[in-house]
Amino acid sequence: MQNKDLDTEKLRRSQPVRSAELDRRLLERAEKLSEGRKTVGTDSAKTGFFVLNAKEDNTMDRNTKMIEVRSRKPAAFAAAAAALVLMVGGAVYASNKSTSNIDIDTPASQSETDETPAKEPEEEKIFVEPKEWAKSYLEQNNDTYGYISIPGIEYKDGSKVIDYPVAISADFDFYITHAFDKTEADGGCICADYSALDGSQPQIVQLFGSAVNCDFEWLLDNNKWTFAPAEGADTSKPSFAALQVYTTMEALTQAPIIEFKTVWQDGGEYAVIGCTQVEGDVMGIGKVDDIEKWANMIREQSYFDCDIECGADDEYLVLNLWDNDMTRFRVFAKKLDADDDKDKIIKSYRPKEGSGYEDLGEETADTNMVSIELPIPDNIRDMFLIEAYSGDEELSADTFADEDRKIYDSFFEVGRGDDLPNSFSLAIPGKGQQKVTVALIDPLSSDSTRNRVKYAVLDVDFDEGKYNVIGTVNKSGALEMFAKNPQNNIPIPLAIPDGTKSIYFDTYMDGKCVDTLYVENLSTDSAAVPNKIVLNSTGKKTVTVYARKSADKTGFEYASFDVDFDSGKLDYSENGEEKQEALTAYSEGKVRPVFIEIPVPTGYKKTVTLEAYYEDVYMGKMEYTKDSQRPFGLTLVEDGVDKISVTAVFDDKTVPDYMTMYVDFDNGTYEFTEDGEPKTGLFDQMEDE
Amino acid sequence: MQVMSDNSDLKFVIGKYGDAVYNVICSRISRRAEADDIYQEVFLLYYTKELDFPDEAARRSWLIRTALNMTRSANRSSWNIFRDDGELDAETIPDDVRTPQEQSLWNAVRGLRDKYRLPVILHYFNGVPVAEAANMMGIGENTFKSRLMRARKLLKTELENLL
Repeated sequence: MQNKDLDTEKLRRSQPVRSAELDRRLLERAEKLSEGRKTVGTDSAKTGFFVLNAKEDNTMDRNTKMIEVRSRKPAAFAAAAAALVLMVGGAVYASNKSTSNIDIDTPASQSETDETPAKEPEEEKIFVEPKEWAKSYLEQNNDTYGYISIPGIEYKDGSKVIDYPVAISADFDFYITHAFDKTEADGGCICADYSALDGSQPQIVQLFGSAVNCDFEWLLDNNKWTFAPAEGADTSKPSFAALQVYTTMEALTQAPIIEFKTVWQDGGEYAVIGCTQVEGDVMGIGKVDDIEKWANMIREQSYFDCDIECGADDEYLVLNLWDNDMTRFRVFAKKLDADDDKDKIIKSYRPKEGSGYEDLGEETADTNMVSIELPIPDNIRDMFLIEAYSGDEELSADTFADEDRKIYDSFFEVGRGDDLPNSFSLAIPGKGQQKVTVALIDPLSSDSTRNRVKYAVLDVDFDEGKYNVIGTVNKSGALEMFAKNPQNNIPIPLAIPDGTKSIYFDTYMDGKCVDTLYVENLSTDSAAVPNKIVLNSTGKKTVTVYARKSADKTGFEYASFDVDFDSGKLDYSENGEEKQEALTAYSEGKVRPVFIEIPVPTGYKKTVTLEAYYEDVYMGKMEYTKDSQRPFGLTLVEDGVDKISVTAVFDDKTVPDYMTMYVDFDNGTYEFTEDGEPKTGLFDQMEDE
Repeated sequence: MQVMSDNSDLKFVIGKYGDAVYNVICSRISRRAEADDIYQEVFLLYYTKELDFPDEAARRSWLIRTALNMTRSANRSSWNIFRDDGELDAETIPDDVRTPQEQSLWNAVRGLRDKYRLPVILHYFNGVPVAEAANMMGIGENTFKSRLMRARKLLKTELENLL
């Protein structure tokens, strides 16, 4: 059998070739940088950014830079100096929008470069020092870019929740995983994206902050909404989690202005113009060609409306709340200028119809919020629902879950592996004196009639903000309810490609099939997409999912996970990612699995792992144990003819080329190579040992 | 900031790694002007930063990782997602001097999903060793090799038609 494969040389020749002109322009820019002359711009000019040249003057303070800019209106630069920004490192971007009265000689586009002679500019030297406030931060971290704070989003003691220095790095990922002092830290610190990496302030500044401490409440306290982090939260970690309060109208009216400044620029006030939830793997907004169109798009997608004028000449701030490399929430703001009326802006905020925006302000105009704190019983599940019902009388069994009386509905969760807090809190609205019943619900229970328990009954004085627990908190009832379902249920998300038809997914753990998921016809229009396997166990286990059609007995290894059921940690095993292309081809009948039987002596009791390789590339594995319910062999799904080698791993010993064969996947056959037959004698050897 | 007294080092680096950086960018960016833009920014950043590399592999790795970082924002931008197809097609990378066959193959490479396309670009186009390329992508060597093999298989049909 012969294996026809890719000619890499032909592949290499297909790559695109850059023009010599591109390198010429690059070298020209570099040359002018080294000469200290004004720069040639980039194609980015059409985005509104332009490149300034920066060079260091050794006679100046370490944080003092000289910049040279070219303009046809040099007199305007005195006023513009404060707005022009730069920092350590190369070419400098700045926004011509912050100096709107300056007519910047923007660079020619690529096609114009050759034909349009560059105008000899008048040159102006400007000395810019970092602002006084920034010097201490620059001493601490030379990557300091600016500072952000949001008045109005505050803790109960009046301190701002978002009040952080901003860092920037050429390696964008650095400050995603490092604190401002450059030590490794979960959640990193607040950082700007690379478009401003040379210290400039582009027309659209993007900042990123982590979702650390995302568990919080937004409470009304003495007529002011305050940010209440979950108990045990480490509020010293920089986070943009609090941005999510902008999903309420109260935050918009209480905190409509974001303050942001760069180390070289006076502070600016930015009015919130929109916020959106972002789906999918989207980091950053990328390059914007048409600012006005972009601003309009934000307004269209935002949850709320407002009457702020947004133009192509305005400056914008985008705050990104990210979580595990995925942006999940964005707040957009526009820099205010003299023409903007703050009061008018605040009054113009209004929810869009059907946006789900809750205008708690109107609803709670004549109500008060009371914060209730209740203890958590020992060993309780780390995830449950909390509901509260109010009324003149204590809730009876008949009126339990009375929707008309429900005043609170929330979800309690702590990260698996974290220490459970001793208590949980809920903020409930009301007025006068009322009885409040708090119920706990087990969301994983399938028995809807027995999945809730009356946890506490309170006598609440909403006007005075006080409450008393009537009787005792029903800890034992809660424990009994949660005991009905076993602990350590781990949902394992399984990515299944669209279009998958008539496939069984058999899940094996400890050699036994513990779950079978059947996908009849998967499409994005499916009402319910079966893509989750819930398993229950303890300790660390490897979970392997095999995909098969009903006619096939064995299926092939589709995905493999290492699961720690105690801590809830879940990750792919090595090479364990879902083989979606293979599944699609298999589902469509384009490829067939070939089962390669591997003989094993009767009575063999030890664990053996068999790994198949094609030219050192891993293709699949099989773990054999004496109680294994799977046949002893490997199932591979490919096409064409491949030479496959199987490596056997006996405890800590690895035997390469345990067997070698040519597999004709198209015809479902295989034949051993010369000397390729299974070295079964090794089993006997291991038995003897 | 370091400003070189001359740009001979930059010329050397462009000559040596220009293709690699440009290929990585073009594999993820559809528009020529944008690709050219990022290409220049990568090398200007290199030129103006004080960077010490223990060896050439580290220098190449830095250049390619910087190019990947810079393309990420643009490539994953919601702006691009919402942009009309007409805008995306308007300035696509031209055929250069490639034969129609080579152009078809390049189109097939570009048509691969990102996870398969990058290994091809890094390893086959630019000769980056498996271990180094896997490190650039932040994945294990076995995973990298596995993706490389899948990519080759996916491209096989194209080759059969072209060879």
